[in-house]
Amino acid sequence: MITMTHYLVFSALLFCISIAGIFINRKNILLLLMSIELMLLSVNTNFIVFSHYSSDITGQVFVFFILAVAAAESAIGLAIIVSLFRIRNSLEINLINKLKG
Amino acid sequence: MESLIIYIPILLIISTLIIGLSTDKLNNFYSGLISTSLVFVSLIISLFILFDIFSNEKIIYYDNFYDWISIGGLNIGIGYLIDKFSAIMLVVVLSISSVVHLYSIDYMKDEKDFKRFFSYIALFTFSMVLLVISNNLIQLFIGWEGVGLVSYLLIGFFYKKQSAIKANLKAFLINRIGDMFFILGIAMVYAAFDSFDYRTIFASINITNVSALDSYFGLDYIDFACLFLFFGAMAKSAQIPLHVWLPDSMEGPTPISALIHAATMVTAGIFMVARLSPLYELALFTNDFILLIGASTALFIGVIAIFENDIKKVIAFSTISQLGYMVAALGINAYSTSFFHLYTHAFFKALLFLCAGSVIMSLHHNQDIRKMGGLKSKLPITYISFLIGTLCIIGFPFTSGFFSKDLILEVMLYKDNTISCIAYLMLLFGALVTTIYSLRLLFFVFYNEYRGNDLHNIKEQSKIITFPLIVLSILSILSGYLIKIFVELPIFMYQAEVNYYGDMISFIKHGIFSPASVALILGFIIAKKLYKDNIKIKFLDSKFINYITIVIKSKYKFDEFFIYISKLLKNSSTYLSQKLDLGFIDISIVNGLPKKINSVSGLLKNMSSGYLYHYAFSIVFSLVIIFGIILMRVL
Repeated sequence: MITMTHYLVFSALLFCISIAGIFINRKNILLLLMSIELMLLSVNTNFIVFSHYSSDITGQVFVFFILAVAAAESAIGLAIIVSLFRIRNSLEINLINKLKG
Repeated sequence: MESLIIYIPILLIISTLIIGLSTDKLNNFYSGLISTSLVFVSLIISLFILFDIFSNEKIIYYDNFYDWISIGGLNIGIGYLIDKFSAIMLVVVLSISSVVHLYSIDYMKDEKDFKRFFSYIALFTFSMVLLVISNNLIQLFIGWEGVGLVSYLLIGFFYKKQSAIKANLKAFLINRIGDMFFILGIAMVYAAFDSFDYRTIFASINITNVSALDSYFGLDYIDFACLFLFFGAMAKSAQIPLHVWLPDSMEGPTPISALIHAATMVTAGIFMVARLSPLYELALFTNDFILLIGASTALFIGVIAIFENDIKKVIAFSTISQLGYMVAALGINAYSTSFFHLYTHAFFKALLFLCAGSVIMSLHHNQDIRKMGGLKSKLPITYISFLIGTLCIIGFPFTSGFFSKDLILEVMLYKDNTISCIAYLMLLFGALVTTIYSLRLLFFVFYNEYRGNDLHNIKEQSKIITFPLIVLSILSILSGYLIKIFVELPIFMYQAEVNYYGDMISFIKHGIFSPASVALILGFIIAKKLYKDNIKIKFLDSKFINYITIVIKSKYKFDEFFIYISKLLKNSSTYLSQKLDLGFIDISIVNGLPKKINSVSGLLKNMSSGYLYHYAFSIVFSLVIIFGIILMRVL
C-alpha cells in the first residue's frame, strides 16, 4: 500500500536531488535550469498529495498555475541562456562569476 | 547724584578711544591734557558721590545700567553698587590715576608711543572702575580681566625690549593661574547661592544655609569657594607664591608702576576679598590660610628688598610686603582696617614710585642705587617728597602709615589664638624690615657722596613732575587722620569689634608706645649704622649670616621653582605625547583601526565569490539552520 508518507518522502528526495544538482553541477547552466524545474515539480507533487488526501481540489488547481508560471519562467531562462551563449560562446558556470557584491 | 555714576566709566572709555584712535593732528601734549582732564572730571564726580554717600546715613546706590545677559533664570547686568566702601575706593583709584596722568605728560614726553600709553592708562583706570563699582561677580570678573590685560600691555610697553616682553608674559601667565581658580570660586558661589548679584548672595547667607552645603575633604563648601577666590586674589595682589610677576613688572614705564602698584591692579585682590567679606566671615579655615599667607609675604618678601639694588625693584618688593599686611588683616576679618591700609598705602606708594621716576629721569635712566647718592641738595623737592613717603611707609608717628600699620598690628592681637600670635610677630619683624629697607633706599639715593657720573647735569624736573609729588606728599601725611571713618565703615563689612580704637589722641599715644615703635627705632639705628655711616659690623661677616644672605638674594628660588614646575610639566607632556599619543593612540587606534577593518573586510570579500552555486548553497544552508532552530523550538 502506498501511503502519503511514501509520496512525501519521494518529493523530498526529488527536492534534494535538484538542490544537489544546483550545487554539484559546475559544467552547464542548462542543467541548472533543469534542476530548478525539478525542484518546482517536487513541490507540485507535495501539493497534489495533500490535495488528494484532504479531498480539496484547490491544491491541484494551484499546480496548474505553478506549471504555467514555470513554463513561462523556463522560456525566459532559455532566452537568457541563448543570448548568453551568443555573447560568450560557452555555457560553463565556472566562467560566470560576475555576481560579486 | 546717582545718575552721575555712569559718567565715570563713560568718560574714561571716551578718553581711551579719543587718544587711541586719534590721528597725528592731535599732538602729544594736548592728547595728554585731554586724557588728564577727563580723568580729573571723573575724579570730581566720584568726590561728589562720596560726599553724597557720607552725608546720608546708610545709603547705598544700587542699579543696573542695562541687562547684559538674560537667559532663563540667569540675569547678569552691568550696573553699580556704591556704598561707603566702594565710594572711597573709587576716589582713591581716580585720584591716583589723575595724578599719574598728569605726571606722565612730562615723564613720557619723549616717547614715540605717547598716545598709546595714555590710551592704555585710561583703559586701565576704566577696567578698575568697572571692577570697583560692580554689583555682581561677573562684572567684577570683567574688570578683573581687563586690569590683567591692560597690565600686560603696559608692562610690555617697551615692546622692543626682550626683558619687557618676558616680564609681561610672566605677569600674564601667573595671573592666569590665579584667574583659573577665581572662575572656579565664582562658579562655586553661583552654584551655592544661585545668583551672581552681591545683594542676593549676601541676603541668602546665614549659618544654617551655609552649613547645609556639602563639604569636601573635611573642609566646608564655603571654605573652598573662598579659598579659590582668594587664589585669584593671591595672583592679583602678589602674595607668596604667586608674587613673582610683580618685581619683573618694573620693566614698564615708572608712572605705570605707580598706577599698578599703588591704587589699581594689586589692590583689586584686597578689594575683592573685602567686598565679599560676608562670605569670608564664615570661612574659618580660609581665614587662617589668608592670615598666614599675608604675614609670611609681609616678612619674607620685605627681607628681599634689603638686598635689592634697583630703585624700582626695592619699592616693588616693599609693595608686595605692604600688600602682605593688608592680606593679613583680611585674614583676621578686619576688613576695614585692611582697607584703611590700602588707602593710605595707595598715596605714599604712588608718591614713592613717582619720586623714583623723577630720580630716574634726572639721572638719565639709571636705576642702580649703588650709582646714586648725595642727591639731597640736587633734587630738593623730590628729596622731601621721598622722605615723606619713606616716613609714611615705616610708620613714623603722625604720618598716615603710622595709623594704618599700627591698627593692623593691633587687630592681630584681637583674635586670641596661636596663628594670629605668630602672624603678629611676623608682622612686627616685617615692620623692622620695612624700616631697614626703606631707610637704606633713602640713604643710598639721597645721602653720602654721589657715586655716578655727571653730577653737575642733574637738576630738578619741571613743574608737571614736581606738582604731583607735592600733592601726593600732602595727601600721604593727611590721609591717616580719616581713621575714624574707616574704623566705622559699616556697609557690607562685618568687622572685628572696634574696641582697639578709642579716640585719636589715645590712639596716637597708644601707637607711640607700642612694639612697632621699638621696631622703628631699632630699624633706624641699624639702617643708619649700616647704610649711612657705612660701619662694618663683624657679626655680619660670619658664615651663618652669609648663608642666609645667599638664600635671601636668591629670592627663595621661587622663580626657579616655577621654571622647574613648568619644565616638569613640559617633560611629562612630552613623555605622554611620545608614549600615549604617538605610541598608543596613533598606532593602535588611529592607524590600527583602519588596518583591522581592512583585513576583516578582505576576509569577508573572499566570501562573495560570484559563483551562483556558492550563493545557492549559503541560502539553502542558512534556511536549513533557521528551520532547524524553529523546529527545535517547536518540538
